Amino acid sequence: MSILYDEGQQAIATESRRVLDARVAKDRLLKLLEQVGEHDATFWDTAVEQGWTALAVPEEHGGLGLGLVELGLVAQASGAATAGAPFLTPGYGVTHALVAAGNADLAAKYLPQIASGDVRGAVAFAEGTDILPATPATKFADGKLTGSKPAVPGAIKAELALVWASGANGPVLAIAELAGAERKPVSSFDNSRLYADLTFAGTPATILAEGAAALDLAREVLARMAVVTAHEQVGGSEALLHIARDYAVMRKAFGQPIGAFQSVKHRIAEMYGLVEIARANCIHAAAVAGTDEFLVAAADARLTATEAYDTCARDCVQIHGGIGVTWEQGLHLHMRRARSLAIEQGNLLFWEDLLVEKLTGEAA
Amino acid sequence: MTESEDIAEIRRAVQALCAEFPGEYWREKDRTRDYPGEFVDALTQAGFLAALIPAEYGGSGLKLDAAAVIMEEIQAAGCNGASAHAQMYIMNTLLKYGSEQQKRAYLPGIADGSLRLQAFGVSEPTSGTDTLSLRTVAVRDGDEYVVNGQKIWTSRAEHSDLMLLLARTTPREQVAKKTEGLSIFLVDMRQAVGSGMTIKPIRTMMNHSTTEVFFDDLRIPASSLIGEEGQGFRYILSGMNAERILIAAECIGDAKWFIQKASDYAKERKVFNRPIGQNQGVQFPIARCYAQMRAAELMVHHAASVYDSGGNPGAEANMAKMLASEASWAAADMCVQTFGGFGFAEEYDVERKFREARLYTVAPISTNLILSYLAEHVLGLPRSY
Repeated sequence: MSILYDEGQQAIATESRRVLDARVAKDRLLKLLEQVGEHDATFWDTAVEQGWTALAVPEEHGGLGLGLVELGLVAQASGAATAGAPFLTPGYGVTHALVAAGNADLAAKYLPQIASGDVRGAVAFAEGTDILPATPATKFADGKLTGSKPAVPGAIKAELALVWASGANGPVLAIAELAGAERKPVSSFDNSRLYADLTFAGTPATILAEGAAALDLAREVLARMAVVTAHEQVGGSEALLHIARDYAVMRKAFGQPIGAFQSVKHRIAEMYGLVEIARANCIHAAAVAGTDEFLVAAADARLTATEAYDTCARDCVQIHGGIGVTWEQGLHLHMRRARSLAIEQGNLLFWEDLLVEKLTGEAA
Repeated sequence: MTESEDIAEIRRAVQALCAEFPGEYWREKDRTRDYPGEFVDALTQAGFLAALIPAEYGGSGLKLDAAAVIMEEIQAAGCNGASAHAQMYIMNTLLKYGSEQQKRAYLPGIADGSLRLQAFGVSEPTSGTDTLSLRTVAVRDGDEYVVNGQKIWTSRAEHSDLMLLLARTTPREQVAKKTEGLSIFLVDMRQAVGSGMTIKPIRTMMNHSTTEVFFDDLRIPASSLIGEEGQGFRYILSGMNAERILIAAECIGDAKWFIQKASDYAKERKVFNRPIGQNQGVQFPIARCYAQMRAAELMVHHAASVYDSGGNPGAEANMAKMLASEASWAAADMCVQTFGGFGFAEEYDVERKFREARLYTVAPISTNLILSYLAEHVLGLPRSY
């Protein structure tokens, strides 16, 4: 594929950035940090209104039938704005699982509601630090789920969850409505992610895939979500790069802009390098979705975007000095988001292991 | 840190000796891959390599901290102590666990340099850091042991009279504890070469005189066994701490050389009409390396003082080696960067020292094994290997 975005894709990028610039307000995001159970409703309403929830849903189910490239561009704009609603990425994960599993009834039931924003998805794979445990403690039997999934993003408000569980014949991927599950909100350093501990006590669920097919599909879903998240991380990194650059040009010390000092300007140049490498990996990963290369490309994107966002968050605060750690300046919104996104969709170790496995052909 | 006058005197003496062996000497040796015999002889004659041998056996009976200063100064002067450092510490096992008769027989010769104990046969092709899985065997036959097997990375074997050899004397499956069944021998290579022992040099990226050693029914007298049969692994452990501390001190010396060299160059070299050292992009990396080196230096002296006071410096010796080798490698990289293109030109010695300094995050023990040691034995985390 071309590494250049086509006209339609460029329009999505520009428009999503423009809309979010106008509507996302730092004060509102700062308030969200101090309460458990609230997301940025303005952002989510915007996502629904702009059709971002429908982007990757097939047209026959009321969606726009676009894919990872377009969703990635929206995620990049959301990342730049530290937008406070965690539904776009898992919603896409649930969408992909429903489409890939080939269950026409379930797809017809849920996909139109996901496209319209009436149903919000969550993806509950992780148990502890293991994003995709080999034998999950959550059990599936007789059409019901039993067990707990800790700190699931979006789970305080999501209506539907894609769950990784142990079944009679190995692991299963199951879809469950969350009305029947218990949710215990988690107070976190990034509260608008809406983390909740989900407990299933005989919650009705339907199998989408089981055994080896379930593992393959779970990895594919995770990789696709990781690529969306990597775009979000790139958006955040790039925003920080610009904030740092602007401050270094404006702020004076010893009679000159601090950006004149090599230790400052070189650091900003290094941030630029990290952002561009991660961006290139994101574009490549989005472009090869559905091919044999995808898992490796997704891991590349995920690893480099995590490093870029972490580094930019740290260095941007450093370049700002004391003002960088103030509540009002809000750089901590990025610092918090850099850390929450670094954990959602699997930490660096998971992706490094996967990369080793794919490159050597051996399980790490 | 203020040092005693004794230590300062040692530093001055080593500096004076090393001044006789300038960059050209080392460049020539590097080019021809020759052993720096003149340098080793000078060190020996000055008594520096006998620093750790007690006075009653002809050495100077110094503490390890003082010996560390000798090694540091050698490196800081741009010389390469790897050609000789083993003479200083391999005898430790003999000193600690050898019989009085063995000590009388060998230590005075080692002290005056007439006997070179520079080779330590531990690593094997199939057992790198996993020493307990080594395969070289020594089987008792009357008054002799018969040795078969192979060692690798045995440095200076061609320039040594004696070799300390670790070999299995009891098969692994027959020992009660897995650390038992290995024994230590002091092998006289002057007799062994050609009658069961073959040495093959390995060419490396620096002038390091390392070799492979093959044993094919080599017969050695039973009297060459040091201490009790089967306890060899335990005997070498204490020597390894001394080795790590001394090599850490060499790394500190290397780091000091690189930092000095880079600072001097950055002050004098002008680009865009000012010294390159006026650029933060140049001076900050030098300053950072200096801070890293000084921190590592403190750990080296701390480890040496734990060793000298009779404690077990396992953690400190390991940390000192890791921190110092990382500091010297960082300084080496920084120095090449500071010199730009000239960093690659032989005449500045930077590229030679760069190649030499690279060894020490790998040998004599790799950083991974040090981290494993700290994780398991200091922090109580599960064994990872």
